Amino acid sequence: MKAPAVLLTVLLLGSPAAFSEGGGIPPGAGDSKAATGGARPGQMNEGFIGRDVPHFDPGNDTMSYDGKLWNMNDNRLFRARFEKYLNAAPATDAADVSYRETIDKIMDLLSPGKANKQNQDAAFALLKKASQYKDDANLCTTLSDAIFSAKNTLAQVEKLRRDNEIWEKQRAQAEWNNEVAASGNLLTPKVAKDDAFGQENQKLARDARVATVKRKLSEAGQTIENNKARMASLELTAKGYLQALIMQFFATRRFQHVIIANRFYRALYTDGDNSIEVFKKMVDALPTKDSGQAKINAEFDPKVSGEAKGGTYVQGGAGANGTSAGGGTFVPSGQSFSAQGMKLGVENLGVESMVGGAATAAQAVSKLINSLSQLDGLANEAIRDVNEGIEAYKFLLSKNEMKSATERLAETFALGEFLPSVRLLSRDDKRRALEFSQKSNELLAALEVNDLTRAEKLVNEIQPMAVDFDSSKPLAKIETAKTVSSMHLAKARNAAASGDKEAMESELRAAAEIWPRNPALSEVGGKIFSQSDLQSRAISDFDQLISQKNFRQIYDDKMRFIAATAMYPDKQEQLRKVLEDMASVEAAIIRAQEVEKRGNFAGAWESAEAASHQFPDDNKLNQVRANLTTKASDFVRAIRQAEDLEGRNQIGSSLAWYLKAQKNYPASEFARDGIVRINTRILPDAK
Amino acid sequence: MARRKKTSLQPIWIILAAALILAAFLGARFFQAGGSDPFRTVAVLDIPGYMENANSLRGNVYKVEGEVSNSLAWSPASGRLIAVDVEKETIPVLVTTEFNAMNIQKGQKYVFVVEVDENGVLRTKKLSQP
Repeated sequence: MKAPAVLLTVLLLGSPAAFSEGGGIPPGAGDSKAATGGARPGQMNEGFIGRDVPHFDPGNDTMSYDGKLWNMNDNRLFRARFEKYLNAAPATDAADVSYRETIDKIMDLLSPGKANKQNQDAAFALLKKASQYKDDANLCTTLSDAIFSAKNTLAQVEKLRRDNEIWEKQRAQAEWNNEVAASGNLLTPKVAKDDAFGQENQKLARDARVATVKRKLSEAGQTIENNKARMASLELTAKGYLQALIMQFFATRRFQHVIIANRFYRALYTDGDNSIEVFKKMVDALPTKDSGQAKINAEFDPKVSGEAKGGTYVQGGAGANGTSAGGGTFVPSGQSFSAQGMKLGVENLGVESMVGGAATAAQAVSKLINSLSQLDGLANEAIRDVNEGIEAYKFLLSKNEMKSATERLAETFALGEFLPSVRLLSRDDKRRALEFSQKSNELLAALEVNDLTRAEKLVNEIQPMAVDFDSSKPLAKIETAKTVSSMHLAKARNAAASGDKEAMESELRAAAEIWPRNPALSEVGGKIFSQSDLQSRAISDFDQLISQKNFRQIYDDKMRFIAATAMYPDKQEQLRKVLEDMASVEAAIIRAQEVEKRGNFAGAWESAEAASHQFPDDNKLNQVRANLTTKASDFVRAIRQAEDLEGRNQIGSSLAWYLKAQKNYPASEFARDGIVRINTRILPDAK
Repeated sequence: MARRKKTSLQPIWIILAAALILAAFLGARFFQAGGSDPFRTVAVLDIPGYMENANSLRGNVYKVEGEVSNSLAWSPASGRLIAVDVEKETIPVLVTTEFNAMNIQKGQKYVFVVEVDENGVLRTKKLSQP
């Protein structure tokens, strides 16, 4: 019993489209989250058919069941499989043709009106041939085995029926014997009425005869009932197995196999019972939820009671470490019977949703379908729908409406991937859909990773390719994202300018998330980081120059340091002090140069000298002072000599030199101050 | 005819008279000069030497003659500090209180007898107008 496992596989491979009304290639919409809008969809509500039945919402191309959403346009596995199909050559080689002819022949032999015993045998024989082709995937062998098994079961049932007929005869004979034994033996001499001893002997002899007959009678009745139970069990088991196989074919969209198997089923079971109650009971036993270790154990219990031991079981398990399956049939061994049922295990899968989904899918199918006739009709309808889809695709192709055409082909492929009309589509016809599909998928991928430049380029490429392609939605997203990214970049720039490093990083990150490959991002980011680097270097230089007392260098490069220290208040204060001092130095230099221009070298020197006392390390000032020293050498010598003598406490001589300097430059502040200073020392109480 | 004997001054007498006159003049000048400078025995201060280094002059007394160019400071207890122009230089001279009676003014010429004190200050010992 493999149907649920197959349903699980089908589900994983993206076959939910088989249950849907549509699907197809994305029209350039955004990611899956965007497709659902991130909101809880309406389908999550309990519909009139509940949540167990798959429901497709054409509004947003999502399908839901069991509370889970599947985006039809964003299924990577389906896209990959579809692209593989579009690249494949049409199935027109000799083997493909032969396979299709064989399948057609089988269907023809089993068609209503032709399905006599001879044709059935011929069709059965052709199953072996059909299974030799790779396109069949050995499904015909599986079907052949199932039919063979069902025939064996039927033969066994027939044998049991014949056994029962024999037992019935034996039971009738035993009943007659019992009756005779109970009525007494007419050939034995009569015993006198008063011969109590003789009568007692006669009674004992009769009881002995009746006991043996009764035992045989009981044995016959019990065996007959056991055989009946076994016949019912065997028939149900065989039916259930074949029904499950048909459901498997349907779930895997092997609609031709569905029809073939269905016709064999009708030929085998001529009682007219087409219900799939056996299958329903089986899938109803499947667990839809299983927390912890994923494990499905689908027990097929036909609820047959009896003493005979027997039954059929199938076990299977799939897990992270592999898949295991086992199965076997217990042939009743006569005297007792107990239906062990069937088991299907998916163990250690570790994905609860997959397990629940598979079981739910099987149950959903069993709820939708009540009989094999219904299944047969659905399969025929699917074949017709697929053929019509291919015709629609070709028509849309001729109109250059690639979006609709590709969507129709995707839908058709999802439904009838294995049908001849799909397999026979020429490669040239598929290539156009492939190109559109690839570009659409690339567009999806580009939008998913927010590669807006690439997405915009793809939209422009797709537009002329498909006249029905609606570019407004992707373009709207692209433009919006671009605008928002630019806004974040502008904010990042402002934050960098204002020294708000945290905000700058945050805005850059936001801009990068929206449009990671934004060309302006690297440009602005580079500038900002370069600026940060320059800033770091400038701060380092500033500290070094401060330690060297090279205030002149700081003053000459003040714009750089003003910008660099903008976000460091303590360094800002240091810089302010340096700039103020250097402004004083510059003023002194300018003043000295102005005085020099008037020919007053002594006055110019004195101005520079006064500033140099405060800023002795300023090179420019020292240079100016050195130049002026040469030009006002007498005055400078007088002042220097005066200061020197003053320092050596020769205040008389010092005063003489100050007086000489004053004579040289009467406005000299140095001389005046020196004279006052010496005067005070000579005459401390001077008035 | 008889020649008349010529009578005139002999040149020797003229030379001697001139020499005597010159000697009298020079002697008068000599005595006149020596008699007007009362500090003629006091050494004159070496101004350049003083300005370069006064340490070697400390404790010595010198004569300085110059013109008062400025009054630098005045103390009732210590006297007046004036600037005196001497030999194109200007040196400070402290006129002590004993000369308070003298009305020293800018432009006046004086002869100062000064002592170089330990700080190189020229302290007036004597003062007179030339």
